[in-house]
Amino acid sequence: MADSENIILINERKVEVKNIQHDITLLDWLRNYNKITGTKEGCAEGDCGACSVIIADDGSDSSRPINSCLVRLGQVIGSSVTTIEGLGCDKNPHPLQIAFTKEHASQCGFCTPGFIMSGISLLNSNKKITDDTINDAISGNLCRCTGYSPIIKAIKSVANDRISKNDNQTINKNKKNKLGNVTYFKPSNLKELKNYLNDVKDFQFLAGGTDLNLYRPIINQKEDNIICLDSIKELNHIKHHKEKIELGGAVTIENFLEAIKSKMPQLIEILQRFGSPQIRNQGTIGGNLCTSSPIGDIAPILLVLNSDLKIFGRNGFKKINIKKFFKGYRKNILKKDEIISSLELPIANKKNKIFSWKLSKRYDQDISTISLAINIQIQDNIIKELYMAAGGVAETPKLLDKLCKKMVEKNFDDSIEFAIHNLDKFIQPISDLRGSSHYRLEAMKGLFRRLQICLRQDKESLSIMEV
Amino acid sequence: MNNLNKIPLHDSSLRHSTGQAIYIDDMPEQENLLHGAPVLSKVACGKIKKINSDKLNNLPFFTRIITAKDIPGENEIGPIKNGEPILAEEFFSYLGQPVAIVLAKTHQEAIHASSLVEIEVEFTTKPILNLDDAYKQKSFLEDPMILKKGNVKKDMSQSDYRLSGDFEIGGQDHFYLETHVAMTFPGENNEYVVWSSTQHPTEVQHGVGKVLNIPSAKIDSKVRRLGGGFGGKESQATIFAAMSALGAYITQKPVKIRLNRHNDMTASGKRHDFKVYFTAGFTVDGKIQALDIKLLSNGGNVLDLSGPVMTRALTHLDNCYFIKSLKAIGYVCKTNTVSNTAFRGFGGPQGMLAIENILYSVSQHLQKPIDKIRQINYYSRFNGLKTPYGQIVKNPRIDRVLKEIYKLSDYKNRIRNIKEFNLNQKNNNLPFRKGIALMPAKFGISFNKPSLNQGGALVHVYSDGSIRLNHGGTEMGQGLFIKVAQVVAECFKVSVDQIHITSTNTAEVPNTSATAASSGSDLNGMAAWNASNVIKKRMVDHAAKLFKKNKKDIILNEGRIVCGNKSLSFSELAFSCWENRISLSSTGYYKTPKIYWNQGKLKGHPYFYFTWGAAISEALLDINTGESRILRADIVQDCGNSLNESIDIGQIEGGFVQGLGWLTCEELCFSQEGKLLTTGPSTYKLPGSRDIPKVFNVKLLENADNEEKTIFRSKAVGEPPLLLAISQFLALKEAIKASSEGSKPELLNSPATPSEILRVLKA
Repeated sequence: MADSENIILINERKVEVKNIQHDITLLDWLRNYNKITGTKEGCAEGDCGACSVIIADDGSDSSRPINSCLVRLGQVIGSSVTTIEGLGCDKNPHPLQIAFTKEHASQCGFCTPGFIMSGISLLNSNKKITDDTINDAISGNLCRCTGYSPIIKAIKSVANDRISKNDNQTINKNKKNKLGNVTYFKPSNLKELKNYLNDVKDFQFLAGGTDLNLYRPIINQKEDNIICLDSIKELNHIKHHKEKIELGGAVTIENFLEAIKSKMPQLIEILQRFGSPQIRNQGTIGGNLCTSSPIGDIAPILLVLNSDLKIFGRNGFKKINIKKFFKGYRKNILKKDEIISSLELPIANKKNKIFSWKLSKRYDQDISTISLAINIQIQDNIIKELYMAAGGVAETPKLLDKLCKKMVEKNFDDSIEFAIHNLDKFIQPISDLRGSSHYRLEAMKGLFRRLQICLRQDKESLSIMEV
Repeated sequence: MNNLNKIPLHDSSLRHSTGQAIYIDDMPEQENLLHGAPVLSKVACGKIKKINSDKLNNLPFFTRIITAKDIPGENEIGPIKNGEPILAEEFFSYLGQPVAIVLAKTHQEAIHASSLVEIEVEFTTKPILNLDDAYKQKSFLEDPMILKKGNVKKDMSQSDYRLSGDFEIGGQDHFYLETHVAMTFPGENNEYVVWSSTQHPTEVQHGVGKVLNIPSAKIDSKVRRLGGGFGGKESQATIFAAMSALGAYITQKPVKIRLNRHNDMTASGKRHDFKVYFTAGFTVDGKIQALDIKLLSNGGNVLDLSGPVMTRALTHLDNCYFIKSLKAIGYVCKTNTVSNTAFRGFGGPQGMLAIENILYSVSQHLQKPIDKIRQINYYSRFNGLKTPYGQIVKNPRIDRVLKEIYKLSDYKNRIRNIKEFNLNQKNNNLPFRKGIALMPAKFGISFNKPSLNQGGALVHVYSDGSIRLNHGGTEMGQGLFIKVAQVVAECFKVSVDQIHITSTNTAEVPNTSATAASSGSDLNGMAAWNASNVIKKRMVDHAAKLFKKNKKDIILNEGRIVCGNKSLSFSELAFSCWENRISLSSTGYYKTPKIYWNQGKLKGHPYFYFTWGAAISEALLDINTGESRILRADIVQDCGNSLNESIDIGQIEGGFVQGLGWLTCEELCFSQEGKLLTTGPSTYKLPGSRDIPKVFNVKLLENADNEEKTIFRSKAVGEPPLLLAISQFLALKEAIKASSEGSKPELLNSPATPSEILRVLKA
């Protein structure tokens, strides 16, 4: 099939992607090739939000904010992108742009377009506009000048002034794009994926890319093939069963969060603190598990819920338990041609209590120093069932099964005291820039103290944010 | 003053919000523009053998490498002392030091190519990476600075108590959202136009001139706005501007250098980290009789501005307190890390945190509230008003500020409530503790070096009545441009919209000082007032002739020139002036009066005046995990007769939150080889929107005209609010104190990360 031209819709204008020498990011393309310079580069690692834009895909009903620095141009061909320039200009500004001006919400102004894009995403959503939802919406944006108060005020001031924008234009999505030395393949179903797996040599999978794109070569000197997973329809399913929720591997963390809100509210906090809206709207469940980082945010909770993973590869499907998935530092059992096609998340037994805690230098948009997930059932003060898993204490997310064994069928208070006093026999965390081994061990003991209080006093959580 | 009451918005605010404000990287690029990227050293300390760029030859695109050998002038941009190269020549003195620049046609190509250059090192030596090691090895960048007052030996021995201790104060990355960037255009006859994100265009001009061996007159240094500066672009911007100028000189094409965040954080200076050793002598009541204190600051590999930073630290460690006898020695340590530089407060915050930590330790020692200790040590007519450096604190506003802050914060009731809260938590075996603390602050305004305290402006009135304003200050987000425009508008009694604000440019106003030391509106506002006044006088004289009246009868009001029942519009008068050959253009100049300083003795009258402020913060702590947050902050700040209250409140809130970052979550981590590990926001955590206090009250001190003749009796505001965040640091100590009997809050170092707090809780 001959490819038709590669188009991206920028602010409702069709722009052809051409004359691209290298595999670049959406941000670089906007700024350098199109001279659309309202979108800024602050960090190029998805943590400051200055490059935030809103993206919508053909056929998808909800637009979403993303970091344009973390997206390769090849990923978004055929998509619709709204930048700050698409909202309004000084002659005809958007109400939120006026609000930022009136509330003195900009000083140096460099972060301002990014904040406004995050604010617009909130206004375009059906969420209530409160301090909490505003803080969440801008948790992926950094401002060094204002101290944030006027920004929050500005967004709040237009809460009743919502303007929803619909992109009705549809554009053709090509199955294959080439940018510089990099070829992108975009299967839309598993059958097509299988064909690519058989035909394409030396490829790399890419889902959201919020992690992999950080390690992207600035310039590819050799030919590279990338198979994009995000458009595969089977990987985007969310199915609610009686005893489990089945989530496709390419379901974004944000959609994961929405899917569990009513059935598993204990997971809300850990998912809400996963990156930022920009990251959660781009990053996927499969991607997060496949990076296999020891500090991945969702692995511990999936471990203690005893989740199953469905793997898809050239030879079809297979199912494994998540306990068997991680192999070593950033290593897992997947073969070169295998992906996580779905996750089966069991809904916890009503008799069980679920806790999931994360410690980091900053509450929002930070990588955990340590984390701890617990799935526990207690009858008459005796632990009947216990699964615990920790992040940041070993090479992989670690199921604390040996410790659990020592603790079950005993009085929970005694068991927790035992755990606190013997923790160093079960975990030996390392020191790094996120915390010393001493801190990790002591803080983990602290989390066991927290568990003790929660169980004794029947508390759901014990977060510093709730005081 | 009309224009002041209306509180105009930041002049660029709407363009910020629409993305139409142009930063240097947004400027249109010429077809032949080249992009440069620095090659950084991979060792902290060693001798360079060879720069190997062979791999560049295999690239399918154009590249050009530039090294120190290509420099036509001096490889030197030291703002105070020589010995500060833009490119390492023989030796590396920190890991990340630029050694070459690679040019290419795109930013990506330049960055990629720069990573292919290999530096062969002849030998490496063990780097000095911490302050105690530097001190032991006598590795200093300057002779120790000694500030002495009274007889420490005698007063120490006669004190009821003596207490010794030490603590660390962490550094801080500026994390301006816009990284260092500069773009140079070569012109005919050796002319160069340098656009750079700098707080100090004149120093860029000098630095470029030195490196290219070209006189200043041929170099125009310009900047419209910075995407944040905070001191990080005071001297440091010159390095990268000089690199772009060097590239432009060699290729005779425009060259842009824009650092990516990793390179910016690796290769540009930060706030100085300090280590403090002290012995304090005090009475049973806690009155400080003698203080023997040693400050070690981390200057990094070269001096840069570390000398004046130490001077300000030494002249601020008195804060609001009269100290009878003092011996303070400041050592600017030379280490193998990037040279530290100016950062909002410029040593002041470190000096003030030092004395507050000491007072806290004294209060712990005496088992008394720190506020009681403060109360008997404040500058007052009773205690004394002479600072250790000899300046008299003429009109202390401590009492006024305290009175306001107590009222605003409901301090007394809250102390009681917090006690109850803590007791309740303890009794119920719950993990949360609260602490509340005050931070009073006095901050000296003026550059310590008297010669820097001058400003210039250039004002044109055109024959259509529009007014063009230019001055030496730079706009880094602080609203300086609108404040100075207000001053001009007030002088001519026209609407502020009639003033056209223009880019800072050494071609229009020469020999400027950095926009720093909170002095921007004091110096440039006054200079612009003087320039405007010259023109106004000429216009009024002419109006008097037209109306055939005495010039005393001419009144300027709301854009009109009124004389009895006759009047002219401002533009009509401007046109008439032109027709009658009256000059409508003037420069203006201002130098701060009354200041003098002996740097050798550290004595004199370095500050034109002081600003006063106070904050009360409430901290919450989880004693199990070391997590903390700020629940509430109340601030009262003395801005004199504020030029623009909204802008000033923005400075206060923003400065305070930046201070919170410095003292709580922002932590610079280095490897044992001296490599900075925290080179991006994923690992270096500045405060986010949830980290600000939920209740955040800011109030300007009322009826507080500056006692000195500043512009409209206003006071500077840029730096002082930052150090008010020390209140949160002290509140955290209070919360730690409440954690259990025998806790040791005095051990807390900054930044108070969860890890540091838990260390202290377990100590």
